[in-house]
Amino acid sequence: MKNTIKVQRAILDITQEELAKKIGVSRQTINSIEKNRYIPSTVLALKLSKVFSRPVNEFFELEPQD
Amino acid sequence: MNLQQFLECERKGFDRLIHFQFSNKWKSIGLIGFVLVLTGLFISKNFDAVSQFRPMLRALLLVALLIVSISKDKQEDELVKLLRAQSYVFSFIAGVLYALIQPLVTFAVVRWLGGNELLQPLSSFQVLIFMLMIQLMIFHYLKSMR
Repeated sequence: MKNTIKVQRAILDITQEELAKKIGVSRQTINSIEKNRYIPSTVLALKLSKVFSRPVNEFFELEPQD
Repeated sequence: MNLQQFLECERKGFDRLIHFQFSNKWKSIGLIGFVLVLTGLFISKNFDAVSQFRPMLRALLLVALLIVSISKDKQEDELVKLLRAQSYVFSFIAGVLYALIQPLVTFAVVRWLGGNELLQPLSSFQVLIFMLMIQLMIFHYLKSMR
């Protein structure tokens, strides 16, 4: 699964730390998600969707191997 | 209470049990306890007068490490929970392998050095301290790799 969290974050002009605070996780968790090392839960994905005001599938996308 | 309500109550109770964790301040308490008990163990090794307390100190050492192990991180989010679960899986497997292999290694080395010691199983303390130490090390390693 790939994502465009970094792009969405840049659009909102917020840091990893700020995004982490908004959704109640650590900065390292945001970093892991952005680097595709961790796939967040549905709850976290929906929280991100709320912050970005976009549907989840606009910034998370399945890859052929998924 | 019908069967459905009973099962729901059981499920909720079990859910609370498996998600139980101490708050973050307990981590410091556990660490301080660990250092104090470890110091006590070193002292008891050198003074015969207090050597009778060694079994109790060993048990306290395990309790201190267990408190550290099940205390929440400063920010216990879902990734930290996942890493914690992974570290428990790894430490469990490592503990079983250690309990199986270590006595054989000790036996082989003793025989190779000319001794005639029989195969001795590990004590529960050795296995448990190994598992707790491995869990804490792997957990911190995984967190540093986030």
